[in-house]
Amino acid sequence: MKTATKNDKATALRVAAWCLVWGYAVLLGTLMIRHPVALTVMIPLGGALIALGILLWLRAVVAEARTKDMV
Amino acid sequence: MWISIVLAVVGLILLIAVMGSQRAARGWRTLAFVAFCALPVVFAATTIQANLNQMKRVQFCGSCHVMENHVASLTYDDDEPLASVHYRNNYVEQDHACYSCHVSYAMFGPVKAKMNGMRHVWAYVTKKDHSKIELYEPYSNDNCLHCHGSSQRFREVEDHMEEDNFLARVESGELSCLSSGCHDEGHYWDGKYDSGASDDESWDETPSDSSAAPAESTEVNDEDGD
Repeated sequence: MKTATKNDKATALRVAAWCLVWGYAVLLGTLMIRHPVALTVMIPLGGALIALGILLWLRAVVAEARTKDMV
Repeated sequence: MWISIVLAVVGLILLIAVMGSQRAARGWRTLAFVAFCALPVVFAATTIQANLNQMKRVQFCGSCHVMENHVASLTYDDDEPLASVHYRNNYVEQDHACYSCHVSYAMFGPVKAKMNGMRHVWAYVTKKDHSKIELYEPYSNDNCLHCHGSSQRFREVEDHMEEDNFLARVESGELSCLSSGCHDEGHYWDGKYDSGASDDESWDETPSDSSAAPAESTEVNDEDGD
């Protein structure tokens, strides 16, 4: 059970990290591709990926804090 | 822009460092916070800000094919269309000319402009006919009055002083600057000024004077028939 929880946490962090990496990549792409259609799609997408990454990371942190009865 | 790139590189390095580390010491937790939370927020903010600045440029508006005639009409030597008069005489910042006149100066004006931009893209992708584009709503006097409203020169124009409550009617929006028959030529949007337009008879008849009159005193030439 303990191992499963540890794996879940690792997966959550990995997913968060990948969301951030892709968010970085998409937003960086907007600095190079300046076409209106691309920007209209890429800015919300990149912003959403970064927001999701942050959310997942915070969720993992809160989950860990709960297991230690900190919150 | 360069700040965004530096932040992205630092953020990615930190992410790799944190994910590759098995340590859970206090220093690493701080590093993880910076990599997962602080840096992405700053990066996203700087990138979006850089893009928003880019989107204010005339060059950006002109990158859609349907806007090419509008952008081209800015530089034509004609004192009738407001866009051309404002652009050529530097009444608005030339690099941000579209943005200056078409984005509301209200608090959420830029947000509304971005939402409309998304509507433009959707309309462009889903509709086949791009021959004529129109404003979503009547042009607001507020955008004109933002600059002209407090101008003495604007207030003292003879036509503006004929009626007692003329300026009050303009400020309330009851009387439109553009659609009341006074300044009704915003752009020559219909390709009149495309590359072959100089051969057109109607273009030859249009008065062209490089010593342009200010926008306030621009008179509408009803005989132009455009």
